[in-house]
Order: sequence, then C-alpha cells, then structure tokens
Amino acid sequence: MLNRYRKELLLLAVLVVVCIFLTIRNPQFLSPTNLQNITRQIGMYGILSIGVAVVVVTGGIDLSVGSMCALLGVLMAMGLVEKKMPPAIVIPGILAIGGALGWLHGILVSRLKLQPFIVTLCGLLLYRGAARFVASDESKGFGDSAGFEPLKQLATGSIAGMSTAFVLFLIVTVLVGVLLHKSVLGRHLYAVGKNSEAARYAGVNVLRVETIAYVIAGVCTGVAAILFAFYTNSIAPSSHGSYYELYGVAAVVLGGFSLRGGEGTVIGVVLGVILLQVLQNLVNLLGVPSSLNFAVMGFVILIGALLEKAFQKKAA
Amino acid sequence: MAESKSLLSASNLTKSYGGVRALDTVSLELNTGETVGLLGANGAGKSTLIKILCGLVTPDSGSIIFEGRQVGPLSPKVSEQLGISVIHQERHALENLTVAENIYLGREPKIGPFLDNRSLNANTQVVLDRLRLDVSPSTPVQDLSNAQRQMVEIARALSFNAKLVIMDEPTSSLSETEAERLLTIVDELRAQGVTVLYVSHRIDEILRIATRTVSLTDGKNSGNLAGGEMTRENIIQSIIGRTEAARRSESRVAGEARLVVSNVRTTKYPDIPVSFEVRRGEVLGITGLVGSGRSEVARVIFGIDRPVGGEVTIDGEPLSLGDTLNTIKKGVFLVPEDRRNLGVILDFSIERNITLPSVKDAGGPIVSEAGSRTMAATQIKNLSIKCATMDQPVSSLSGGNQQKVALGKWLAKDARCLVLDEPTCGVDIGARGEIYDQIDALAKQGLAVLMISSDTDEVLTQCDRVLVFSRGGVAGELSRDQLSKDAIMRLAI
Repeated sequence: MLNRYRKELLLLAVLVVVCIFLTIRNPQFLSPTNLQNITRQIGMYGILSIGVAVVVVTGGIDLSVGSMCALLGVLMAMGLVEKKMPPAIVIPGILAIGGALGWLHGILVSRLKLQPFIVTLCGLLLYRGAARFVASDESKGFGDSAGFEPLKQLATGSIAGMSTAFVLFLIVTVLVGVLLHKSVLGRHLYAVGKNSEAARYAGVNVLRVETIAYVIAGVCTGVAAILFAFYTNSIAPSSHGSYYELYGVAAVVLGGFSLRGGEGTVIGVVLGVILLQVLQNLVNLLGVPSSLNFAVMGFVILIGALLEKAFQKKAA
Repeated sequence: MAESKSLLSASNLTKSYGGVRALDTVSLELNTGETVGLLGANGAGKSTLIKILCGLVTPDSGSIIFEGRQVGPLSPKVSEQLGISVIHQERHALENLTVAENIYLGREPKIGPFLDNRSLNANTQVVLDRLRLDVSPSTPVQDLSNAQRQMVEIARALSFNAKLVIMDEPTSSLSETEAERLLTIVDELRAQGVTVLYVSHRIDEILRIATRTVSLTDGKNSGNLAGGEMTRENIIQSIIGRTEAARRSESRVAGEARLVVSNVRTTKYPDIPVSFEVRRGEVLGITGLVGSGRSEVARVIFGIDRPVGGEVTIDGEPLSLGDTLNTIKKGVFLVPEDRRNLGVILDFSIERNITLPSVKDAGGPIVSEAGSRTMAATQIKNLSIKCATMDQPVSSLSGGNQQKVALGKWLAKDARCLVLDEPTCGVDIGARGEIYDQIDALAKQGLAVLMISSDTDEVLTQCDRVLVFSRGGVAGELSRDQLSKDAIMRLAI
C-alpha cells in the first residue's frame, strides 16, 4: 500500500513542508482571503490539469488547452454579451465545442496515427489564431454581467466558505477519479497507455479509448475556460490562457504521471496542482521577484523528478 | 590437458529478491574452451546467475574467481573487460544501424572527431570471417534474418575478445536450419578456445553441443552431468527431480467443423490460398519452418491483418476479417507468439491482465472489484500460476507463468476457438506440462484448438492432426498415425 502510493506520499510531504515554511515566513498564507483566492486558482487550473491527465494516461499529451481557453472564452463572451444568447444555450455550447475539438484531436491521433504532440501543437497555434480572428484581436468582456450574474458566481463566488471553482474541481476530481480507477474505461485507458498493441490483442477498442480521452480533456478544458473567462472578466485573445497547457502538463508530471503513459493517479494530479499553486502563492507572499515565477516552478518540478528517481533506486 | 584450466569458479552465490531466494549457495565451475549447458525450469535461477556473471545483479554473498583471481563486485563494464559476454534472449541490436556500427557501438574507431568508417568495416570483417558469417559489415541490421542477427550478437561478443560467451536461449526464435547453423558456430567457438555457457530448454541442442551440463532447481545446484551420464532422461531428471513419461494424450473425439478457413490469401503470400478447418474438440497443429506463413494465417483469423482474399467462419458465422473486436466477440481468441509485447502487458498486475478482455462483459461501466479478483483467482488456481499475490506485475513472473497469464485471460471468457502461436516458446518443462493439460481440457470441452508450433516434439505429442506449411501454403496434412518427425520434415522443406 505504502509502496503503491509512494509518489503521492512524497508529494504530500513536500506540500506540507512548503506550506509550513510559508506559514512561518508569512502568516498571511492562512488568511481567509488568501485561502479563498488560492483555492479558486487551484480549482480552475485543477479542472484543466485533470483533463490533460486523462490524455497523458494513454501516453498522449494535450498542448492545446491554453489556446482553447482563449477561443472558448472569446466565443462565450461574444455569445452572451454581443449576441445576447441565453446562458442555457451558450454554456452547453461551449462544453460541446470543447468536446468536439477534443474528439477531432482524438480522431487524428487514433485513426490517422498522428503524434499527439504534433496534433495538439497545431491546435495550440490554430485556436489562438481563431480566437484572435473571431474577436478581431479585441478584448471581449462581460462588463457588469447583466443577465447572467449567477453564472459569474461560478468563478468568483463561494459555497460554504469554499470558492465555487474549488467545489467544481472536487466534483470533477471525483468523477474522473471514478473513471480512471474504478471503471472499465479506466482500465482500458491505462492498458492503452502501457502497451496499446497488447491492449488491442486483448480486445480493447484502442481507437475508441484514445478518442474518448481527448474528448474528456476537451470537455474539462471547456469547463475551465468558462471559469477562467469569468474570473478575468475580460479576455484578451492574444494572451488569455497563454502557458496554461504548460501548467497542465507540469501539474500532471509533478503528480507522478509518466509521459510514456499508463501511470499516475487522480490524487497525484490534485496534489500536483495544489503544489504548483502554493508555489505561485509563495512567490507573491515572500516578495520573490515575480519574474522568477516560472523559474521556481521549473526548479521544483526538477527537484521532484530527482527525488522520485532517488526513491525509485532505493526501492529497487 | 589445456582444456581443464579453470576459467571461472563461482562459489556459494546467493541472491534474494524481497523474501524470495532466487539463488541459494550456487556454485559454477567453467574451464577454458568447454561448452557447458546450463539447465533449469523457468524460475530455477538461471537468469539470476547469468545476471550476476555479467554484472547486472550483485549477489548477496558468494565469491567469483576468474582466471585465478578473485574479482570484486562486477559491473557490466568490469565483466566485459574481464572477457564475459552475454547474448541475451531478447536481442538489443539497433535496427537502423549497420552490422559494423552495431558491433562497435560505443567504441567506434575515430580519426580525430570523425568516424573512421574504413577501419570500422575492416575490423568487423575480421570478426565476421572468424565466424564464417556471410554478411557485409555495411548491411543494415533490419535487413537481416533472426538467425543472422543472433550471429551479429556473437560477433559483437568476439570483438571484445570474449573468453566466456553466455548464450541465453539463443535458438528460441530460430528455425531448425538456422538453429543448426548457430550450433555449428558454437562448436567453432569451442575450437577457438572460447568457453560457452549455453542456456536452453532444448535438451537435444544441449546433448549435441555441450561437454557438460549444470542443472539448477529452485535456485540450487541440482546436479552436474558429464560424458556418458549426459542422457536425455538424466537431464530431465536433474531439472525436475522426477521422471516424466512421454506425454501423448489419449485420442480425443473430434466433432463437426467449428473454425473454417477458406481460400485465405495473406498479404505476404497473396497468390497462395489457404484452406482448412478445425473441428470441435480437436487440437489441430500447424507447423513448418519459420517464415512459412503460419503466423500470418493466425493474424488473419484473429483480425489483426486483413487478408487479400478469402473467408473465415466460426460455427457457420463469418468473421469480419480485419476486425479483432468482432473476432473476440465471436469467441475466437489468439495467444500470440510475442508474449512480452503482445500477449501480456508486462507492467500490469496479474489480475489486470487476466481480466482485461472480460472487464467489460459484466455490462456496467464500473468494474466490480470483487468480481474481477475472483475471476483472476480462479485462473491463477486453474493454471497454477506461481505468484505471491495477484497484484504483482506480470514482468516479475517467469516466462512460463507469463504465458499462463496470456492464456488465462481468454479462459475467463467464453471461447469457441483458441489459436495458440508458439504456446510454449521459452517455457520450462514443468509449466509446459501444465499448459498442455489445459489445452487438452479445453479441447475436451468442445473448443477448436489451433496450435502453431515450431517444436516438432510438441506437435507430435499434443496434436490430433497436423498441417505442415511450406512457402505460404499447406504442404500436406498428417493424421495422427501418419505423424513422425521424418514425415513433417519431408513436407516442410
């Protein structure tokens, strides 16, 4: 049991140490405002990362999620504000577009055997261009959100003291957790990630399983895109969502997933997301120059990878 | 006599993994210029012993004396410098490089910073000549046959001036003629004073080339044989500790045709139609030389490859060819030859491997943990898979037990026809018997079993009827009373 969750326990230990350190250096860390804020960030990035995690389990990768956030955000703002469409149509529409783009990635990867990196890299470029084009390169916003205030609450509000985004994240976590670890599809996802040929020989519908993974990533990105859009309230199509794909991949890798596929748990990616956001917070709270933001992230992921290797050797 | 000069003397080697003792005070003496057969069932400790000698594994205790000197902890590098070379079961040649580049990988001759291709090829030619191997140093390895690749590995060993060459199941993927060629080379190595430790399940080969044999059972020395004591019966005795009678199951009663293959033409042999049928309750053997088109037919039946033409039916229903999922739905299953890459998922647990094809059969989207554990436990018991828990990865099992997992995952489903491609390749005698018992039981339950095998003994003892393939087509059919090694060879060539 201990051995099975070795990576997760290691990550938890690192997280606890960082949190204690941070609390000692700046007690502001535990202030309700800060916690409220950090859990909101965790919620939004978390939903995004969990989608990426499902794809990574199959041995794939999704680099398009950041640009997709921009495109979906722009479309949503234009639908709600400029076209005055009802939220009951716009929201499912956004999720459907996310899922459809994911499906397209899935088809290109599974049936046409294109490499996931290439497919989603093209997505990254294409969706960014599309977002800028449909928005005529202008920021699209929600203003005072007249007519859809409850919707905005999703991103900015809170339920029982917890930010709504975080609650949504918990729901997504449970759903994907059941999917990955308890369902038939989950077993097939890991089988495909470990050895897709052997999975095929065992009667797994490899093409379908791969495609579904990308659809899940697309839908998760849709949910996250809605939250991010309301959170920023104004979407600049050229920069909104930039680097989010890297946050996603970073959280997944930090969470103990192998980019070769077939490894990793939902708990791992949750811990990975939390650690990344706590580190962001650390940079702010400790007055570290914000230019070092990414460097801190990179440094911690590297340390994590080194620790993991060291433990692996010890265990062997 | 120069031959009796001791080359390697290992004593009291012990190695445990977790709580399991893989090697228990094992000793091994090797003299210069002799060929020693190392025998043992899978899991008897042969692999561990080899890994210790080539420096991949450090023993918990014991000592190794090489050429009269005590050697410290071995690493792959130290072992190589001493002159110990291993030719592994799975070959690691880099396909896109040439023969010469593979042989001198990592120590390429250079002029300044540049590759010296001329000396590279010249040096390689010298080694190839020593083996009388007729390939050009500049041939890419991907263009070579399995046997030639094996020879390249041996050439690589010689290029290190190896004094001890360890061969781990070298003929398991070779055809009989190729294997014969390899054995000739082993003889030549001995003539040149190179010591060979030859690990194989194939007793005929050991009898043919070895001067002595060393047997291991359950991690312990279980007998050394030399000279006149080296008989088939004694060798088997030393491995399993009990005499096994030649197994020829009483005849089974074949019923109506279940699997009917009509005029199937594979992409490899598009002009040769293959037709045959497998009946209820029979084991139909398919044999022939490697490359005779046997596996291609199996791949078509299972839906991996789409044929150029032809039809396959099971109980009268046509299979949708090229669609594995449909084939499996109809109850036609394949245990592929490439166990490690296709037969099982090595990093997955036994339980996950066994239940992989059937988890979805329960209907619901959620896996019943209890149900799948029961299913796995049933197969583990049924096939006597030797394991500590069903949660251990299949990679930790011996070859024989891995094969049982590959078979077990289909037994958990309703089978109508089972296609077994080389079901006992690299499987020890004990596990082999258990697999044969299982096949026999399945046939008696009314399954149609198609067994593809290069192992003539296996075909002779296990099959009710045999088709011999040659150059892509069925060269002939042998009924049970026509079966003999001689008859098979005549048709195969």
